Amino acid sequence: MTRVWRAARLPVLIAVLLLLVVVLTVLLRGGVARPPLDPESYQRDGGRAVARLIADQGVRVVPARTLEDARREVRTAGGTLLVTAPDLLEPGVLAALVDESESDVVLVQPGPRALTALHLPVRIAGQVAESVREPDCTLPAARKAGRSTIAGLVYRGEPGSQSCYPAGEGAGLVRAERITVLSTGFANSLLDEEGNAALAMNLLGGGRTLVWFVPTPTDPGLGGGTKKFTDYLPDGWVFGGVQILVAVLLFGIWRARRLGPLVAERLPVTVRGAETVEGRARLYQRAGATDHAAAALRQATVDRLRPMLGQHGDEGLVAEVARRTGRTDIPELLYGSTTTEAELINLATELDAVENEVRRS
Amino acid sequence: MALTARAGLLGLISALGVGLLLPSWTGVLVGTGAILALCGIDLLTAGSIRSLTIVRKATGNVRLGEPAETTLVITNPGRRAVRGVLRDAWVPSAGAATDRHPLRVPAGERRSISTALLPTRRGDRRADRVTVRSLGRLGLAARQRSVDAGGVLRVLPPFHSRKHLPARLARLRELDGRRASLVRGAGTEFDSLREYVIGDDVRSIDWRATARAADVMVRTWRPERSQRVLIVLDTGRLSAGRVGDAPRLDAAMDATLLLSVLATQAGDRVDFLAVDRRVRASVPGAALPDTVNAMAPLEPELVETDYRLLTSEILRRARQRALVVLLTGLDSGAIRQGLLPVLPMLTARHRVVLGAVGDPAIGALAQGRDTVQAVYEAAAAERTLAERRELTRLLGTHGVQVVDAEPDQLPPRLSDMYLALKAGGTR
Repeated sequence: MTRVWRAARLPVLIAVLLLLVVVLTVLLRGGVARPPLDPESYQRDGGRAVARLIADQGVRVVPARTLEDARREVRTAGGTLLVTAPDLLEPGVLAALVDESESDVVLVQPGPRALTALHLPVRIAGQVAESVREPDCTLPAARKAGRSTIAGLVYRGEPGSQSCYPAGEGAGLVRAERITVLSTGFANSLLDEEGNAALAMNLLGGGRTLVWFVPTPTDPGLGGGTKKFTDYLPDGWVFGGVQILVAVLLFGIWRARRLGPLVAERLPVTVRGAETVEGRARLYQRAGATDHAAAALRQATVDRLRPMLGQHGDEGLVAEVARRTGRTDIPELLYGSTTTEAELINLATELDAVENEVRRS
Repeated sequence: MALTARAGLLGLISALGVGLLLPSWTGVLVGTGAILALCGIDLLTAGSIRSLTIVRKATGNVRLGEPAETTLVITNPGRRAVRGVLRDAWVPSAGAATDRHPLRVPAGERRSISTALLPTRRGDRRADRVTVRSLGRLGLAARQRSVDAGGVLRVLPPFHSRKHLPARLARLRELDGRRASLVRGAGTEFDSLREYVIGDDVRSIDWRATARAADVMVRTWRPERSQRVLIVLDTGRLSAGRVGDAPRLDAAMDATLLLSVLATQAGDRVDFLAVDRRVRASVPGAALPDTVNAMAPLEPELVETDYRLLTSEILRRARQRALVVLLTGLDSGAIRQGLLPVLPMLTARHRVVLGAVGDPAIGALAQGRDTVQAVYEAAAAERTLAERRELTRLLGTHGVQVVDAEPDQLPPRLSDMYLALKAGGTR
């Protein structure tokens, strides 16, 4: 049991520490982290404020956090579709979703892949720092809203599109048919500045409902299927890895091939000479055969004393030993009986003492 | 076939190439194919090992504890040089320090390779197969083949008791000398007459010779020569017990060697026999090298010795009266049930001496007094020792003299017994 604990305590300790760290982080972060522009998020980059404003206007705001939800809501509820992070969707999937929607679509900061997939006449023009810009166009939603905060990617609209809020070499808002590409968001923190709130409400509050799609990377329906781990690795690493496996196999073949067979040898039996003696001693001890053991010790002493003293009879021997040692307990010592183990040990030492005395006398 | 580490390294380099230049299945295929092709080409350039001939020079005998050497002669009749590694595999107890050797035999030439051996066990130590690995030019791949080149190293018993020999031989010469014998008994030969000196036994005076000469003459005798000594080694279970770090059999062998050298020097004819359930070795009229050779491969067998067979073998070999030295154990069961029933047949025809290897560990156990367990062990040891004394006495009544000694003491004690018998002239 202690061995099991000793082996397991380090991993257990590490697991407990990890758990503690996770629990503490979650507690300190104060709730579940939500993606930017989430309609429920109170954080600086959240979208709670604008969602409430739009809802107050009588527009039904339908949040969708998975692709499946978004599709269903677009099909059933219709209305304006807002995609807060179009780059998280596979281009084909995004295109299909936009096709399904029959009214306005607002994309926040789409990347080049999303733009090409949707065949929009819009290109990325560059990137600008956060700044306030004039609408400078005829689009009613922008004109009514006035100045607005533009940050991040800006776009260049090709003929057939309307561009507003020029910034750098592009524009912060480009509209092509029913699709609006918006460079800045309407995060909680920006909503009280300039015409940001008005612009968001003009763009999003046009229909009776608003499907607010917040794609998350953990959505299993994203991308039309799950991506394998290797899909995220560059090909060089993947195939380099395969080739390393080949190398490992070659190393394995190198190590596995012996230089000739193992040599076996028939070894002789090993029987310790004193083994039977030890076995007999254990038998004595287990059976508590003190009398047997004592008899053996006594006999051995008598056998050693007899030739020394030249006595053949038992009585003669006892008398001679008693005379030489001056002890009176010789008869029981040499021919008595022994019952306990303490007596046995005592007997052994006494016999030794007598033998030594006789030897010296 | 075998690959080397270089092939693996090449694999790592190709991984770099595939990762950087051609990251696709085609790249993997090309990389792996290239390595395999290189290995194949390398195999083709390696020297042929099929035509290689490997012959072992005779290895001979060595005493246990002494170093030996074994030599292989490798001939390369092929057109390409053979370059690589050779392994001369031996059983572990042959004590090969290193059995791998670099090999380079140019085409049409021969080379010899020696392996140093320091055997750790007596007996026949066998060589396993010889393996040759012939590397290609690039050192990526190698051809490999194992051949049986034979080879046995016979490790002889060490004869530790040789150190006792000079003293015993001196005693033998003394016996052989011009000393007047006390009795004119059987087993002594009349040697010569010489003048009486003070100290000679008066009973050895030859009065007829004294009457003819001016001085008092005594007859001198010398121990009878050309007696037969038959040394019988029991290789059954009693010989298997390990005393110290060698089995009893090894101590018995040591005693056999000392005794046979001594008896041969004394002019006696020594026969050697090893028996358990069957005859393991038999050397009639043994010269020392023959005896040693016959003994070398003997190992204790875990079987009960067949004393009936042992007796009949002795009787078959020694028809005239002989000194039979039986080296076995003093085990109550084996002696009482095995040896005693057949002993009269032996003692009627021969003089029998029994040598037994005692265990100093038992003596040490008998001294134990510290704990209850030690005292029980002491009692058990005393009982065993008492049994041995009882057996010695019992065998004595049958006319068998017993030498019960610890391993290093058995050879000299047994030789002393032999010398005493020789001196006494009793047969």
